[in-house]
Amino acid sequence: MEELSQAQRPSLHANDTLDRAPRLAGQISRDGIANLDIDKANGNISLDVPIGTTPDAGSSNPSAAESIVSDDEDYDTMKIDPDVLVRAAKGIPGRQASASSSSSASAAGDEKQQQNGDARKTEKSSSLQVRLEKTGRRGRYKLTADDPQIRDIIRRGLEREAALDSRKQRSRLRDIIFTRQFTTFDRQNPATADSPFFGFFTLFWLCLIGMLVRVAMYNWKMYGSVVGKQDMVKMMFDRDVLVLGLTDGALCGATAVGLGLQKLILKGYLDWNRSGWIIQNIWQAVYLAAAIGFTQYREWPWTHTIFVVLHSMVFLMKQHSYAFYNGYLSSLFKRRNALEEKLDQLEDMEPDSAASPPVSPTLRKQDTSMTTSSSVDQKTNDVHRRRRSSGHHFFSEKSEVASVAAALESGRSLDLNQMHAFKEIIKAEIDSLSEELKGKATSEANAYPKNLTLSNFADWTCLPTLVYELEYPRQDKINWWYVVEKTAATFGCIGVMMVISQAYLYPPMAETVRMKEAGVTIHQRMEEFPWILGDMLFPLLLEQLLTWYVIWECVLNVLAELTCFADRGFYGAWWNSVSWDEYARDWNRPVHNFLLRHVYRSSISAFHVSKGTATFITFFISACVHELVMACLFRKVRGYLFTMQLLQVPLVSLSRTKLLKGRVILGNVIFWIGLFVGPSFLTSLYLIL
Amino acid sequence: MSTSAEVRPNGSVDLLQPKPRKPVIPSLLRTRNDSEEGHSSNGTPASGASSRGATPVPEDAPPSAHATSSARQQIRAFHKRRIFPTVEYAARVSHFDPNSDYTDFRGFFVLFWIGLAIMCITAMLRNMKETGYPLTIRQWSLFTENIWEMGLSDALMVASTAISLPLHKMYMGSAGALRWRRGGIVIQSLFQAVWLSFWVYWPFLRTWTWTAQVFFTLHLLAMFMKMHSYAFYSGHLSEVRRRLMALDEPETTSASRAKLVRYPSTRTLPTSPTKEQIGEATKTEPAKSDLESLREDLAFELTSPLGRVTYPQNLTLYNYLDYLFCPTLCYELEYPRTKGIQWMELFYKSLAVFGCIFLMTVTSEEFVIPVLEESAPRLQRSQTFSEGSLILAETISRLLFPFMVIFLLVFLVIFEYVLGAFAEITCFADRQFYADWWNSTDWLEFSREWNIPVHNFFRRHVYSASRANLSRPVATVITFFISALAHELVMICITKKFRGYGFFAMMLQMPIVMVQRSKLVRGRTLLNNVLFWCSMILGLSMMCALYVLV
Repeated sequence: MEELSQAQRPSLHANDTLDRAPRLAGQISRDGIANLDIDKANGNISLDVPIGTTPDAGSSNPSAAESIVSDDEDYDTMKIDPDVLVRAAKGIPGRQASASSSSSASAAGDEKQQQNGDARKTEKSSSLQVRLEKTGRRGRYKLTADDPQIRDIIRRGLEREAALDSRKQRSRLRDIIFTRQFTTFDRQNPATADSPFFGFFTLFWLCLIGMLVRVAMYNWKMYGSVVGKQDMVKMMFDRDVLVLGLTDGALCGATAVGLGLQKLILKGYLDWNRSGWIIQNIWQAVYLAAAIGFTQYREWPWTHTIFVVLHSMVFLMKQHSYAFYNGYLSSLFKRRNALEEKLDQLEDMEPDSAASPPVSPTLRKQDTSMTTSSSVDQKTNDVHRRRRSSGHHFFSEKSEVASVAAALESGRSLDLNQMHAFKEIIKAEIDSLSEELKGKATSEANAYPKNLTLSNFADWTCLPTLVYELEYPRQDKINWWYVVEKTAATFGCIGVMMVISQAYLYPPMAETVRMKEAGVTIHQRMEEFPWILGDMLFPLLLEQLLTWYVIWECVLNVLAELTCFADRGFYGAWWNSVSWDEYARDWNRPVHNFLLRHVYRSSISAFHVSKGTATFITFFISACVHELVMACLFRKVRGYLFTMQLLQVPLVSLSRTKLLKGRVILGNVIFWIGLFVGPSFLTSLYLIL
Repeated sequence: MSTSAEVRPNGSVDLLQPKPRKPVIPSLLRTRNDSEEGHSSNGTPASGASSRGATPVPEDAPPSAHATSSARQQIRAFHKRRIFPTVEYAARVSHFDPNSDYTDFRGFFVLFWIGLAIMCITAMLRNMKETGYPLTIRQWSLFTENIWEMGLSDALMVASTAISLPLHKMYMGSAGALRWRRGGIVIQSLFQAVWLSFWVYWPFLRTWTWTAQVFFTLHLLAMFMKMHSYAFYSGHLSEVRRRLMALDEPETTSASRAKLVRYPSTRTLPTSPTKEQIGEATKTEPAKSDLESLREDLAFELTSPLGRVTYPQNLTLYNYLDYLFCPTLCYELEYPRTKGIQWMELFYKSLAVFGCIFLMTVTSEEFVIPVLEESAPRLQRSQTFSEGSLILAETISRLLFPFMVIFLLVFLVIFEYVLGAFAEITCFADRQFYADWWNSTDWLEFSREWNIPVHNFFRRHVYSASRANLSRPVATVITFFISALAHELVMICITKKFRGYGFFAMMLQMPIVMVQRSKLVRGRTLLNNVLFWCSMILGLSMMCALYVLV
């Protein structure tokens, strides 16, 4: 999948302007909707529309529709099974490319992804101002579109057509795809069960058990009991355990504010694009500050602190994703409602003159195809939908749309066919909007406004993912034995980690603290630095591996099993990474997906930055968050981790140079040395200085 | 595992990847092999279960029947077995080879090496701090003390194996009492016994250090096996050639016309009856064709699997030298070869050999020797049995990790790097010196998989040889017995003590395997794998502690 996504990362800036309609084209705002400069001075384009359309033109006989459908690909048989989606996405890249249009503005993934509303510049009114004025002559109307949105819609119709016309190969922003899969170390994974190196996995755990036995024997010899001294346990469970639980509950409960906000937005008390996103951002900042402030106020031991801080960050990301996705959908919802209203208005405006001219066969054909596509498309995803609808409609209608656009631009009046095309464009827009409102959901029952329920929110809070979607692939039932096994593994691993830290990490750490308290000078302490580092290398690596295993293999799998969440892609094969960006992508997939969708792509669409800058922004935010965690942990701000993380950016570009490119083993060796030495180095630095 | 690939008859060298884990059900393995060989064609059981002299197809049978019959015959001809058990060599790569397909977990392999490197560096730093020197290799004298004498003896030992070549020419040339089946086999066996006992005793006589002695003894055993394989296979071929020559005058001589060719027996199903067809009377085929086919079979036996060398051509010194350098213990007339030497690979492998030896030295220096030195006097001072056993248990627990690391390093250095380097030098294409023993579920499986050259030797020259007269389990026990004796010999060389712990522990594996094959634990792969690793880790450090301290 990684190759796929890389291959499909688009060059956005290349097509920001539209050649076909230069005067209408303008900037593309970050939700993918163009902000048009009305450089025509008056801005009002009046169209003379000869009204003669038959009212029943939109609804035509279904048999004709079916015959048309059968010519094309048959999406009726296609179920919205995510596997199918993936396969389709992998299998037919050429088709996919043809499906995407020439500009990012109309690309499905684009609009879907960019749901952020922060710092939005375009002030989009939710009502459309299209006036139809009766002209002096009977049956002729003057369509006045004084709203950029109408032009926008027309423009997109043009784009669809242009895409079909040019058949240009263009990549499209890939949506985050959820599939059914297992984690690598899961016993359910057939690839793991048949792995030729299975025995070494056994060996690893046996070695850990052997280590436990040794520690136990040592303790018995030194302290007379197997458990030995219990400084770590005392620190962890001595005080405030109940308060910790309560705090965590409160943090979890407080996320429901996001649901309330979305409800308010839906009911129209707030507008997401104006005040909603600001409120949300303020709330998130307050939330994080409160969580961190509380840990500092209670002066908790570092274990409590780290738990609460990390958990609050998880909740923070969840809230962010929920709010910004739903906020984006709310704006779409409003637009759809407005468009529907306008369409009704247009239909009502149809003249009731008896002499409705006979509908031309081509026109009939267009209409039938239009309705068909809208009914069929409920079962396909939006990419296919757009391609289809455009394929059916605008390919044959090309000249019509172009003439509508031309008429709009030049201010000429529209004839019957053009008027009709205009309506069809609006309909297509409505269809695509409702398709987006449905998102990944398979049925209308889960489409946008219906998902704003408490149960959906609670479900989302429990799911092991940070990217909100209306629906996820689910499995049929819970395997309770699996839950028991993974839960046992969780507690077992935590136990092992505590033993390791007590036996191997606590002594050197206590030594540094003792040195500081004894007033040893910094020079002498620095002399101790390599020995402290050497003592901590192996235990810290083990701790690191085990922490990763506990969270990404055990805890997330338990959560997924309990919630029947089928996509277990919580990590990739990060141990084979050849560079740091690969590691960053692979070791923590949920957060990576979050950053990809809500930071990387949002910054591209919001600030119109290049891919490189967006990558840097993502890295920067990630580094800030890590430094924040370190600051909470050690109660000092030193910036070592921050510096080291930002150093990775030039390192990544170094690894892309000729010197290192293609040298897989060498890259992997460098990566592992960094991962091996890095944590102990940092910890020693923080402890000694 | 050695049967995972059939030798391509045309000797094509497409590299074969090691197999993934074995399927649990042996029948699965068989079907896979069958489909690989591509003879599950029209549903007829083409495994050669019927007798060779198949019922002749009537003249008026439909063409389809004729076609089926001839297809069967062709396939049988393809799978014709030699009378001497063969080892199938093919161009293969090992699991840890850079060209291997198994890269899923390569990162952890890298981690293993980096972990070892960092361990070495920290140990050296600590030594610097304490003593001022990065390494105080107290074992250094162990390596250097007898090095010249050892090298010379080793060269002499290897050279003395070449006596087999003139000896064999003698057996081949003589028609009377000295021919292989009569006197030759006796002479050769006597020679080998004398040769082996002399060279085994030599280091004891010269009181070498244990490192030199272990190296010498291991090399000696390898050379012994090579020589044995060479002599006995060539001897067999000389007899076959004699029969073939005798057939030229069938009327005058009373050449045996017993059928030669065996049909492939299904090795994977232990319960199925053997399908050896030797000596089965042919009823339907006419006598002339019988003679023809016998001649063909004999000629087939004398030709190499790849079909470029026939028997007496190979009796050259060059061929023998080449065989000595090839990383295999089973003599064949011809082996699959690679196109040329990859010098970089050779360089990396040689580097890895020295790196591994260095790592092993550091590990034993830092983690093994201090423990043993500390425990030995304490054990001597201990009065009661319980106190002594406690000290022993503590020592074992402290030796667990170092021995684990040393064991893995020994495995890697021998089977991946030394053998790989020799394979690179000789362009030997079959790099499968080990299979996935780490997934083993019992000891038998481990012994089959972790040392494939020796396993092949035992299967060909010990197990199959004893199978002629003995039943399957007895042959297995004998094979195991010999292997245990050899291991005990190595332990004696290392410790200069005769204790028999290793021998006992190895023979104990037999009943344990019986238990593991019982219904209760059978098929529980994970459990058995855990048990295997436990016995492996515990066993190694226990052996060390017992031999050194007790």
